[in-house]
Amino acid sequence: MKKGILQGISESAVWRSIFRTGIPDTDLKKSLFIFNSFFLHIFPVKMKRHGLRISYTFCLGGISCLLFILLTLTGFLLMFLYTPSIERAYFDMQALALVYNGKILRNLHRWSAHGMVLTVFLHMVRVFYTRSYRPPREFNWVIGILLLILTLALSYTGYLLPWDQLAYWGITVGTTIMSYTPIIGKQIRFFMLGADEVGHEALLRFYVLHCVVLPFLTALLMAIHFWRVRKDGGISDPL
Amino acid sequence: MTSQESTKIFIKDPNKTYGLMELVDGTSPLVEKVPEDTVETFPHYFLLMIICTLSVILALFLLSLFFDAPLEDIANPLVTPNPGKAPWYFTGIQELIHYTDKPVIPGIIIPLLLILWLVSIPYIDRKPKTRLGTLFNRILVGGERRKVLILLFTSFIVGALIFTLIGSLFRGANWDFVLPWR
Repeated sequence: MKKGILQGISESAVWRSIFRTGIPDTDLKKSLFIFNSFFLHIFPVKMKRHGLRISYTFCLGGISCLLFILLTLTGFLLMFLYTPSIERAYFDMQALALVYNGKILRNLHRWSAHGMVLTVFLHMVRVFYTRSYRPPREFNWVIGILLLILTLALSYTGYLLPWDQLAYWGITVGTTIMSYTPIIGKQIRFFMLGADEVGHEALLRFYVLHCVVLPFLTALLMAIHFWRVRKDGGISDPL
Repeated sequence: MTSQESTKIFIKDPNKTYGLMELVDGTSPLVEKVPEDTVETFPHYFLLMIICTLSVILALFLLSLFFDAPLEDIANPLVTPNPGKAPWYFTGIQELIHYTDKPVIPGIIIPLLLILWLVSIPYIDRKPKTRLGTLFNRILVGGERRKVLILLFTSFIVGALIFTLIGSLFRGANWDFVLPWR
């Protein structure tokens, strides 16, 4: 039988040294294709048919994860173009209009961020109504709530970075609400802002939180969240 | 599927011996298990995932092409905008604060209690084991059909939606009620 070009490549020694499985044409190879791949091994090799129904999950968890990845990628690029100082931050934002596709980059980051707040929340709503938090999935629900809080924190810390009126007063209003905490309200606000008012210290704090601390925590909890989905028996059964 | 679920259907009777009855043609390597209604992740799920991913990315690109992210004047502590608004996901709290002269209640206590309640949902909604547990279950969850819990959660969602919408769209200068299309 004559071999096709694709088959030839997929059977070559170089290809096989990178991808151990050939063309996934049998059930075994379809399984190994996922099992042997670093990026795909978090997926089960087989899954329940009802889990593929869009009307069960609406892909909300997956979309949240996708948005997190998009936000990380656009965030990396934006970090090259941004300085967290009150002298430069706003003008860096204006200068984005001069950067090739700079505006699109910022728009993508902004709209994805709003979208992620929405999809993470809706994902929680979906999980509630399908009652997917029941044993053994109780703790994964708790991790999910923590991820919702982290998503809000990520979005909120990013809100200050453009250093325009919207950012400045949005953060002033938000941290004023925090200062209503009994007894330690003032201290919490000072801890958040690094000063009594929103200024350079606050911008630097929010920048480090937004670009390093919170994404790291979120990624870690996401990993545990997905790992537990598998360990707790995959996608939940319908009601 | 957990092992508990599968044993429900195929209960092994220790008084019977089992032998090979038939060879069945199939592609699944499963033995001694209930036939599962499963499909291969590759390609069934991946196809769905790729379509979903590409649609979301396309939608985001279109959105970003036609709608610019807002950028107002440079931050100025001396010029207070009227009204000063928090990001949209916190305007619901801001709206609640407007109704009271004790901002600690809607600003701190209610959000904290909500988080605590959300976290505790899976520990409230369990199969009750004692009579006291059954009583608590009936009050907090509303029995097997969890009518109380669904009512509470739905009110939380609807409430959050309404207050957030009012706070972000229907509030103008001095936090007065305005119509966004005027």
